[in-house]
Formats: sequence, C-alpha cells, structure tokens
Amino acid sequence: MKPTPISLLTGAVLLLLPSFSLSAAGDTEEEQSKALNVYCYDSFSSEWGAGPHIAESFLEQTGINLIYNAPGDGVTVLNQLILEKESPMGDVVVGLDSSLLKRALDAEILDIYNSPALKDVPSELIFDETYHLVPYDYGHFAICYDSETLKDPPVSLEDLTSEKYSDSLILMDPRTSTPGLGFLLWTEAVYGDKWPEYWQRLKPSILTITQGWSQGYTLFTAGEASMVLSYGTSPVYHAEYEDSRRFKASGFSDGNPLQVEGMGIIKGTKNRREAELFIDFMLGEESQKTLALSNIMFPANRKVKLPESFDTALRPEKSLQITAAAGDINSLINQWTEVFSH
Amino acid sequence: MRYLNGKLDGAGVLIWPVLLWITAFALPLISVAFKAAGSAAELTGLIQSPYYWGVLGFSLKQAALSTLFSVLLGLPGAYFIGRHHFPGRKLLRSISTVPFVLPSILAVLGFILVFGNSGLINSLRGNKEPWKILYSLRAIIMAHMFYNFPLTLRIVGDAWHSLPQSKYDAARSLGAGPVKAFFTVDFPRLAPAILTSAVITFLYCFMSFAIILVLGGGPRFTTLEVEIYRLIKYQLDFSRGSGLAIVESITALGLLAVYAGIDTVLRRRTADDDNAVKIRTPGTISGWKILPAILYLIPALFLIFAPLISIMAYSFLTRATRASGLHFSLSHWISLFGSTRVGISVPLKSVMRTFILGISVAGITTFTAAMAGWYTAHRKGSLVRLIESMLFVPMGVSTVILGLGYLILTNSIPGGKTVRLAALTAAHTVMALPFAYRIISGRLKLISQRIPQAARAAGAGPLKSFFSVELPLARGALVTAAVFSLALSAGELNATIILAPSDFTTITLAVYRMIGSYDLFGACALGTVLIVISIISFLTLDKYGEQTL
Repeated sequence: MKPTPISLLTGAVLLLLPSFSLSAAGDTEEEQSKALNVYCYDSFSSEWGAGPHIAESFLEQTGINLIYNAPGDGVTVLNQLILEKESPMGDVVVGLDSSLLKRALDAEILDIYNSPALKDVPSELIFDETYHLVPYDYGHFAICYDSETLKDPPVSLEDLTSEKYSDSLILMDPRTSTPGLGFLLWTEAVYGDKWPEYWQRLKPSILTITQGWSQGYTLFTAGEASMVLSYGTSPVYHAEYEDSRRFKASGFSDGNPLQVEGMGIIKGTKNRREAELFIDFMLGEESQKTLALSNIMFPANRKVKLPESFDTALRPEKSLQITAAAGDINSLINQWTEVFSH
Repeated sequence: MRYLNGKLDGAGVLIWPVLLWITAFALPLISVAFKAAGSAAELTGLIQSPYYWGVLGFSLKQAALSTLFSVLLGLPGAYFIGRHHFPGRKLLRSISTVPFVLPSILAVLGFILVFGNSGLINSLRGNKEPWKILYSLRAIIMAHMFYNFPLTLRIVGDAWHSLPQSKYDAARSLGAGPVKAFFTVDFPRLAPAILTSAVITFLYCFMSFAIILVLGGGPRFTTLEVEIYRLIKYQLDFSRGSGLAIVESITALGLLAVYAGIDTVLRRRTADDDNAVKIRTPGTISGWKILPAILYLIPALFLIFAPLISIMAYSFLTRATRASGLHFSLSHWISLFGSTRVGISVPLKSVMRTFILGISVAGITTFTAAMAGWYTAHRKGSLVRLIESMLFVPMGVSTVILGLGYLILTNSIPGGKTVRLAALTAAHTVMALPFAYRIISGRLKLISQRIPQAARAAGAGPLKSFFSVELPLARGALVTAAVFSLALSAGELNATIILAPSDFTTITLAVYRMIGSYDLFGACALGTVLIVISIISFLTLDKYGEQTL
C-alpha cells in the first residue's frame, strides 16, 4: 500500500509519544535524592560550560543533586527571578555580573551570604559590599585583535579613531548586549560628558555593530575585521584549544573596565544550608579551575594554578570600575541612539 | 460521524486546533498582559515620539523592499520548477528550503564568507580595495532574499504545477496567444499563491532583527523588534515594550486583514471544476528558454549555495600554527564527534533531538492545519472568518513578547521534562501553523466542491471523501507545509532556549553554545550536519509529495 498523507501524519504523531514517555522515565530518577535548584545562564549549564562537571563533583562530595534552570543569558535569568519574586522556585543564582548588581539589589531577590571561602578572593573583586552577590570569576573588557593582519594595535580609546583603522572594528549594541553596554560605559568613564563627540570620531572605524557578542566574535574569527570588542581573556581559548597565539588583547592606557561575575542565594529558599555549601564549593580550587577553563575568565580564587595558556590573557595596568544606575543607563542609551540616527 | 451533521455542522474538528491555539499562544499573551498593564500616558508618549515613527517607517520600508525582491527572484524559479522537468529540479526545490533551517548566526557567517570585505568575491578580485557589499540596506535585502525566496519558489511553484489544462486549451483554441492565455487563464490562478508568499515574506522581514543589525552595519538600521527587545529584556519596561509590540501587531494584523480581503476576491473568481482532474504535463527547458533559464539559475543558485557551501567548507579548515593561514583539517570533525571536552554523544544526540522534535512539530502542524483547512474550505460564515484570523494572528505577534509569556509560564509549569517538551512542541507548532494553514487551505479551497459531492454521491461520507479524495489531491501542499514546519522548528532558537529542558540540546542550541564558547569551526561542522540531514529529509518528504502529481 502506498502511504497516504494521513498515515504519514499519524505516524509522525505516534513518533512523538515514545520520545515523551522516554523523557518521563528520566524524570522520576531526579526526584529521589536531595536537590538544589540553580538558576544560571545557559552557557553555564550547557555541555560546553562548567555546569555539568561541577554538578558531578558536587554530588560526589555532598550527595546533593544540582538541577539547573537556564532560561537564557544573565539578563534573562535576572528577569525570571524578578518575575517570580512572590513565589521563588530557585535556591541559588549563578551569573549575575557587576552591571546587573543595582537591579538585583533594587528588586530584593537575594539573601546575604558572606562565605568563609571569600578569604581567598582579592578584596577588589568584592563588587557587592553587602554580600548579596559574591564573585566567582572576572575579566576585563578589551579590544582584541588579529596580530597577523594588524601589526600596530591601538593602545587607547583615542587611538581607535585613527584613520588607519577605518572599517576595522566590530562592536556590540549596548541596547542588546552586555559587552556593548560595557563599552559605552567605558567611553563615558574616560570622556565624561564628551562621550557623544568621541563616538562621532569613532564612527568611521566601526565596521558594524552586532546584536550580541557571539555574532561579533564570529565575524572577527572569520577574518571580516581585524579588531573586536571582547574580553582580555579571549586569547586564552585560542591558545588552550587551538594552539594558536595570533589573537591578542590590547591593554589601553585609559584602563580596561573590570567585569566580575557573581552568584547569590535566592531570597525565600528552603535549602539555605545546601545553598551555602554550593557557594563555598564554587569558590573551591577545583571548581574555580573548571570555571576558568570553561568560561575563559580569571578565577576569583587567587590560589588557583592556571595553565600556561593564561599567559596570553590581558592583565591591564589599570582596571576601571564601571557601574551606573539603571536610570542613567537608559538615558545614556537614548543619547547613544541619537548619535547614530544622524 | 453523525455529529458532523448536527447543529455545529462539523465544527467538532476545530476543537483540537482551538485548544492548541489557546494553550500555546493565547495563554502566554494573557500572562504578559497581566504584567504589562501600562498607563495611557506612556502609550501616547510613544506615539508622539518621532524616533519611534522613524523606526516604524524603516521597519516597513525594508520589509517592503525585501518582499519585492524575494518574490521577483522566486517567480522565475517557481515557473521553472512548476512547469518543467530538468536535471536537478527536485534537488533545487529541496535545497532551497535549507536556509529556513539555518540558525541566523550561521546564515550571517555564510554571508560574510561570500560577500564580506575579505570574503570569496573580494578575494577573487585580488588585492584591489575591497568591494563593500555588506553593511548597508542592500545587504539586509540580500539576506532576506536568501531566507525568503524559497517561499515563493515553492508555494507559487506548487500552484503553477497544478494549473488546469482544459481552460488553457480552451483559451488557445479560441485564438488567444500564449501570452494572452497566460494572463487570462493562468495568472489569476497563480495570484493567490503569489500574494500568500509575499505576505508571509513581508511579515518575516518586518519582524526581523539580528540580521538587520549585523548586516546593516549598526543602529542606523533599527526595526521595531530591536526596540521591543531592548525595552522588555534589558530594561524590564513591560508597559512601553508591550506598547510598541501592540503598534507592531496592529500594523501586521492590518496588513493581514487587507490580504484576507484580496485573497477572498481572487479565489472566488477562479474556483475550478477540473483542476484536480487533469493538470498540464510539465515540459522540458529547450529552445529560447535555455538562455533565460541559465541567466536566472546561475545567480539564484549562487545566492543559495555559496553561503551554504562556505559554511561546509569552513568546517574543514583550521589555523593550527601562528604563522600559517587557514588550511585543510579534519580536526574539528574529530573533536565534534569525539571530544573529550564535551563527550561523543552530545552532537549526535542533538541531531536526533532536533529531528524528533521537528518531525513531531511537522506532523502535528500539518494535521492541525488540515483539520482547520477542511472546515474553512467547506463552510461559510463568521466562525470561518474567526478561525482564519486566529490562525494568522501568531504571525503578527512579536516573538520577544511571546518569549516573555513563556518565561512567565515556565514558573507555573511543574518542573517535569515531559511537560516542558510538550510546551516546546506546542510553541513551535503555533509558530508554524500560520504557514501550514495558508499553504494547505489555499489548495483545499481550489479543489472543487463538486469532487467531494461526487464522492458522496458514490456513497462516501464527508470525512471519508476528505481523506480519500481531497487530501490526496492536496498532497503537494501538505508536504510543502510539513517541510516548512520541520525547517522552522529546527531553526527556531528563542522559544527553544526558554522552554527546552536543560539537557535537551537541539542543533541550533548547540551551534549557539559552541560559538558562545569560541568554537566557531565546530559550530560550522555541526551546521554542515544540519544542512546535509535537512537536504536528505526534504528530498524524502518531497518524493512523497510528488507521487500523485
């Protein structure tokens, strides 16, 4: 018999059922032992992130299962926490960075935890003195460049406006991306009120402005431009996993903005003790090394021995603190949009 | 089947489509509405802002231009595919749908590898000053053509394939030349299909976002969707964000209303009695047609194939040492399927998951669209109009808003994986349903009412005649609908990120995560797997679609 459309359709619907029942079988196993709900950005919990490895050794050492809930990037995680503030489902959050601190504090979604493990963390990384968010890794925003195509990299923001860099820089949109916003705040920190004029001078050097870091960095690695806004630690990946040292990060005389990623205990958790255990565990040397090599960031714990590939990372002479209130950020971005609508 | 003859006259078949629509579409939107109750003052503030008017104007302008060029590029292809046999025809038809599957980040990569400042075209030109093709409005339109002209190619191609023979013969025998016969007989029958593909293309481009920013060259080219994303996601400004989303939806739905009106008029004039009985046999491309065929096919094929092939080629390159440039290597393939970092099973499983999910979505969507299509093709009245607009509305709603709805709802969804997978399937189904319904109902409406009547006179009930006569006649449309639904599901990212259980990594998610963790070459290798499997699946599906044609 020739298959009729209906038999094909029915077949397709039937295919669905086993896949669901299979996954339902998987569910029941999860419920058996003690579990901790961790809210995180998706690149942490994915197979390419530090999450799976950390969950495995945490279970081994404490008998507690980690269940990750990753609805998107860091901003989305914060949004979800705010949306479910009245009836929180999570115990711990991982991945709210220094730029989200003010919003997280204003929303009152976190509890204080001054972990004893913070003794190994340098004090300049403690970006929240109220200990709602504690740091686990950090890096600097930096202009990365391809040393094969660019022999004389810029060493200051002003350098970037030079004619020889015409159409060679890829930036991210501050409306939709964290590094993009970091760069805008960077120019404001250096130029004060004069930052719109700086951006006017910078325009000819910009090849394009992408929605997010991934697209920008993709264009850069594909050779479309010789410079990209990224992290000072980005060269580490190419050294560690591709055995290539052609990509470098440039330290700027204006200083490079510091970005610290933090974690905290969600207000209303019923598993406070387990949540504290998890935060201490994340700051331990083993997890810190895993985090550094998956996130390609510096570990917060100063005792961690880093592989040689980290020699390629930028350790800027001057570190800038860029934090701004949510209201200021909105008006900055509105002004920025003005600069580009002419 | 007695209930079919009852008061509601067959409305029972609508229970399933309506139920699905409520759970996966209306419910998330309602939950956003509860959060978004904004003041009227804020909305008037938005309406008075010249900036947002400019953004709306640009959104419409780029969508109109993109639609115009996508349809123009698609029409000759539809003609060749619908009316002719030529070597590679089936392959072209199937491959043209692949861009739909492609995660936008890989499409962008494919584009810069071909058209970029240091891309294929510029490197062929040698050491001259690079020819700046991208980072302009032109680049946005080209990328939208790459994505959308397959819609015209297939939807209009299917219509062209099933044009009636006898009317054309009659026109010719009454002395009309081929041109006149085309415009009096064929064109009116193609017009609804052209309109359908144009409207779907327009809405797609109107809501487009990531591609516009990166290929346009930055914030000069901002669409409403970018601003909605910023307000909702980065500023948690639900009232202003949804205010803009309402403006966007009203514009889109207004267009859909106009479309529905024109469509009804067009179809009323062309219902055929015999189109299903005998269709014209396709010819070969010969004589004078060879030259235009070549002039058309080469650039069109280049636009689809060059970016796809670049991505595939890129996965075989590496830059192992500091000094050397790119050279051939299998290392990314080896690490993709044997990585110690991730483990062997992840990429393979992601392929399986994508296709299990995609096939489920395609099956359910086609089934749902066929049920709704049966009702609207056989009945008249306000319920029909209501169903038609319900099935179209999802195309006019911002995915940022829908995503926010899902984000709110996931709290209420008990953590179970099964529920989340079902929600994900439902979300993809609702997104694909407007396409599938348009494609299927368009075909069902063209099938004469007399055919099922004849079948019933011979003793078949209405459902039996639907299954045994009408559906087989609409097979081409069913398969096209299924292919697009599968492609849409495989390439969808936003709802997948939010709804997929944390270990349910699909190919698109894997590609994004690999690029997010710097592994661009590996992402290209996985993208290549996606492209190849899609071509095979579409070819297989299309084979069934062509059997009765």
